[in-house]
Amino acid sequence: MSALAVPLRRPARVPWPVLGVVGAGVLWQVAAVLTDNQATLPTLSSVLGELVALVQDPELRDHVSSTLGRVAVGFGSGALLGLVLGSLIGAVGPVRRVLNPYLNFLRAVAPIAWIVPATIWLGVGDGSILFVVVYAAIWPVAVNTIAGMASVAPDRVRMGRMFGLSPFGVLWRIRVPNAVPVALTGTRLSLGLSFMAAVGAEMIIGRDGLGYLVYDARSYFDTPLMFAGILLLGGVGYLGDLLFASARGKVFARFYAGRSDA
Amino acid sequence: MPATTPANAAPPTELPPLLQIDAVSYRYKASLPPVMEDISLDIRYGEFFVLLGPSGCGKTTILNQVAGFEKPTTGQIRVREERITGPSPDRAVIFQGHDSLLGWLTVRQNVEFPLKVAGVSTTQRRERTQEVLELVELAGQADKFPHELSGGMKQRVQIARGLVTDARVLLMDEPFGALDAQTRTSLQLQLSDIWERERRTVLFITHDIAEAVILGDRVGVMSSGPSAYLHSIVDIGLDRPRLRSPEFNAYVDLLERTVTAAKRREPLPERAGEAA
Amino acid sequence: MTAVTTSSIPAERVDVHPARRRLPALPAALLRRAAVGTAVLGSSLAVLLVVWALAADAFGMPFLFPGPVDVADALGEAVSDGLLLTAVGASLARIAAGFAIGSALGVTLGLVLGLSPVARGLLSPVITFFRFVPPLAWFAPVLVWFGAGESAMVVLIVYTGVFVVALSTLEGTSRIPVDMLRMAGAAGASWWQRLLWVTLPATLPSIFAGMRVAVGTSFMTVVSAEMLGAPEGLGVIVNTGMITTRIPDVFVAILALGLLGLLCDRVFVLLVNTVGRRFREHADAVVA
Repeated sequence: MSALAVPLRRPARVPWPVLGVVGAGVLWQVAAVLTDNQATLPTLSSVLGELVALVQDPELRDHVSSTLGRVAVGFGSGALLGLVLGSLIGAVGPVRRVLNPYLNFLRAVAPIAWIVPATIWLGVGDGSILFVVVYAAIWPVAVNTIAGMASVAPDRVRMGRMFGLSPFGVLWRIRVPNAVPVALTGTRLSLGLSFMAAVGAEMIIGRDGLGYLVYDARSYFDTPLMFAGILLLGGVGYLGDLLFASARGKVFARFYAGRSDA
Repeated sequence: MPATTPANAAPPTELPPLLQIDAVSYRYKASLPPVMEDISLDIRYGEFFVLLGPSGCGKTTILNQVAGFEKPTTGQIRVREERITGPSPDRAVIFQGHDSLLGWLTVRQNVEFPLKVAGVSTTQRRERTQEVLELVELAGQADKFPHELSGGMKQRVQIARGLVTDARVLLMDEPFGALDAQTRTSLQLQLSDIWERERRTVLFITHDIAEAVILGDRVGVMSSGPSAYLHSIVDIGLDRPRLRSPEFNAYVDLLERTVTAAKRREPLPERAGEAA
Repeated sequence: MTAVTTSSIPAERVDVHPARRRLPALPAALLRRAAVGTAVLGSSLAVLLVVWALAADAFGMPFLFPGPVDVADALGEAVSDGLLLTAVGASLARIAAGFAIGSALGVTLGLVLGLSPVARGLLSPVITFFRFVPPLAWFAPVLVWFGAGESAMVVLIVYTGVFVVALSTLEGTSRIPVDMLRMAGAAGASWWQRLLWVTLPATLPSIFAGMRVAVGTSFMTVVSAEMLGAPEGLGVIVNTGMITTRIPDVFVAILALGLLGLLCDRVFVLLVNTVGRRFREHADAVVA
């Protein structure tokens, strides 16, 4: 960011990220010791201890796998549905223009609000949670796919038609590949949203899963457990995103060739 | 017949040098060869100096170093005997693209910017900006936004911004490179006119030979890189405005031969039987 | 105008304009477009309502699958009770507060991160990590710290807003052309002048994009926060609907949420296109 002269010799690489994490941990511990109230701000040591206990607990693994299972199924089907829906709508201009306001409306409704109708229709349990997760996953993918298909450079379409591609050919060989990077950005986003939706739904339904775990901890005022749950949630979410990004990089690399966006 | 001056000859003693580039070289990394090496150059007060060379010869890097955006690996650059340490309002820069124009400000506000930074009062700013806008013939567009202007107009805004302060040195990095040929020609003549009136010291980078002949008092020809060096300096002894004429074409020929030799990193061959 | 390019800024509008440069629209042409758009919407709505009514009839259980008439009834009731208005007011107030604070904090944080590589290095892992913790997970600790009241819910909304705005601000600072900053340096600007007169205005398009997303996430968060415990609000209506199993009421709340969310989004876009005109990415682009 500096507009000033750049020194040629680079200073030794300080591992700032590591320092940051360590620093945050130290700050936490100090603040916790000073406030001296486990219920308000538990010490880092107690939270970590709780976390370790949780990880070793087979029951926790069940909770984690329930949540992950829901995210996987919900995200997978939601993203796929979103892709199909997006491609269908995005393929035909008039259809897109007519459906546009409805898509935007549905997108604006918080997925979690649907937990209530879902519970009434599908009963309390996995079904309703999955409904919410799918709902959360579908829109970013659909909207981005549509936008991606609509934003092809006109010259490419002209090139296709010049070479004799049928409208379907143009769609399949030019518009859809053009939409892939944008659709994938939407998919990455929807992974995060699915995760959040699953956790939120679990908190409300209150049966099992990571969301339930964290929410339940508040009834015993077990703040260390709450925090351990939060750390766990952050970790799982972060790992998931990381996995997605690297998988995307490997599998879909050629759709990004020559582009300036990551 | 115009003659070239080899780069290591002493400059004629007329005006003292304003800008001194002293044995400057630049390397991105210690393991790589230098982009350019041992560049020494004196630019005099009120001189229009053109630095001509192929891409990759480091001419933009030299300009960045004179501007103070980068530090040379070896050697130093002095303005009025003082070593430069960073950018300063004394060395105004006109960039190659339009990125430096602030899109949310009008033309007038863009040109005023250096004055505003310096804390000049509003009335004085207005006056001075108006003068400069009239000089570059943009007074009618003063309240438009950069995105509403053509490429040539945007570069004129930069020129106005460069002139609005009392900057002693104007550094211009291939400002007309991205323009179409006709706009380029008209701007070259305009710049030549403006320079005659304002007489600032200019360091102008280009790879266009005709442009160098139209604009420069002296033209420094760079060799190709890496390890580019200053091959020769050509004095352009034509009166302004420089329009096409046999003498003009002779200079262009000379420069072409010099540039060819410089690209090959060979001295300029003596040509027997050349017409004077 | 076009869809996202980074994962921190989710999808934008569906009606993307093609890459061709648009000519400035005449007022008559604009009106015509608006009229056509309204007509299309009106007729499609009519079709939708008819299909819905038929489907609901066929299903035959109004409390499980209400038709448009049942929902309209419930809506009428909610409005005349004054219930809807109170709920909307409460939710909007929380959103407004959370959004404002979240955006302000987010911009500040984003600028700090953008300008200081040290801060960036130190804080990146922490931010990246907490970005993935759903705001709801903080519900319990926030209750403990702030008590069960308005502040707890506003804090949650602030939480989501800060991340989105900070990340897009940060991305915006990285997009500032080098020449712009160099020009400021060459003009002799102090770091403060550079920040205020160059960095900040140049980052505004990205900040706006982030803020727009924050409007959406604020809505989402407010619903979940209210569903977990609030005296009134749209989320509460949803919750009550669950307890009393009155789906028409829930649909009314969902309808209200969707429409309000859309409205806020459009208002924001309108503000950006008018007041914030000169700060847009390519100053002649229209944010769709």
